[in-house]
Amino acid sequence: MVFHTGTALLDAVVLAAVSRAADGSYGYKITQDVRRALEVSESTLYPVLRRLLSEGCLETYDQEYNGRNRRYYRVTPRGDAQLHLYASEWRQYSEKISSMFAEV
Amino acid sequence: MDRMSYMERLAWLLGDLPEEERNEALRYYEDYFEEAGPEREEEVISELGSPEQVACVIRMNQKEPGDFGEYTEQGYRDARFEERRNQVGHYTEMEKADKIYQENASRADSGEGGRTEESAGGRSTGMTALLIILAVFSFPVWGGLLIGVIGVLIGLVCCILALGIGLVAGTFGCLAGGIAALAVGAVRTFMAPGAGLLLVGSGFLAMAFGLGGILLCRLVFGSLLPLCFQGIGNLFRFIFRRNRRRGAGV
Repeated sequence: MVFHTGTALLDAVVLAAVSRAADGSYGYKITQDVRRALEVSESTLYPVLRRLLSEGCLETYDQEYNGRNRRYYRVTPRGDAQLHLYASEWRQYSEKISSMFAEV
Repeated sequence: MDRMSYMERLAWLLGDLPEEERNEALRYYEDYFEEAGPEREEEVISELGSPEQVACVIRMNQKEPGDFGEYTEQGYRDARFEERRNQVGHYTEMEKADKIYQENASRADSGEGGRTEESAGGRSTGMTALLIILAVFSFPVWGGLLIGVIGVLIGLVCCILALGIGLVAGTFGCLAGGIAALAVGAVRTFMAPGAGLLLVGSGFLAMAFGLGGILLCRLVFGSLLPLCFQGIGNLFRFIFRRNRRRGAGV
């Protein structure tokens, strides 16, 4: 792939991955889901999740799983608004780009 | 490197972060390994990259999220890593230039390649100037170290010298005391045989210690001290000769 993924797009994809399940997702699963769309390395998502947490787009909670506490990430209302903004922006952007390629 | 040593290394690298920040990060990666399961352990380790890289990524987030990096399809790309790589590239460029310079220098005898030699030579003197500046600015570091080493050497020599002087004094004391005790004891034996003989015995004992002392003195002054001075002399000669050779090399 020759196109670079900017910070905003990565944020958007991570938010989308987290919002897929109603009660949130955990670090490993988020990474695997994001990697289905983007070829990011396994270590990249921690800073992204941290940033989204500090911006109030995500929140965490712990839930027991197999005898230990698993940390879940969940999209906050603010994060949800951000995700919708990203999604509509992306639709416009990709439509314009696609129309450019339509005649190729 | 297995998971355990990986996490230990990471924890060590994050040692100076605020505790909460560090624990959060360690927990995240600990969880990550846990979810990936032991069968993916090796894969995860190679995917994550070195603990140093992971620590760097975590740290970057610590500061304000500046736009240092970019997420590319090849993973996260950090401009500062690239820069470092470029510097390495630059270094090899410089090495290449050095090689060309040397080749030209040998060719200069036959009168070829004069101009390239000049330009490469300029870079070389620039390097020398840089090295000198570096040496001057890092003086507080290596200067302190040098003074420390000299101090230790002087201390060592003084220590051996003091040992020697003490030995000489002890030896003399033992010998003199032994002879005196022998003489007094010999006289006393006629008056009070018990006490006199005891004194004679202790006189002999003291003299034996004195003779032992003489042997030790010979060891210290005959071989240990000369060896010490020779060693220090060799060290200085080694340093200066190396410097001179390096100076000739540049």
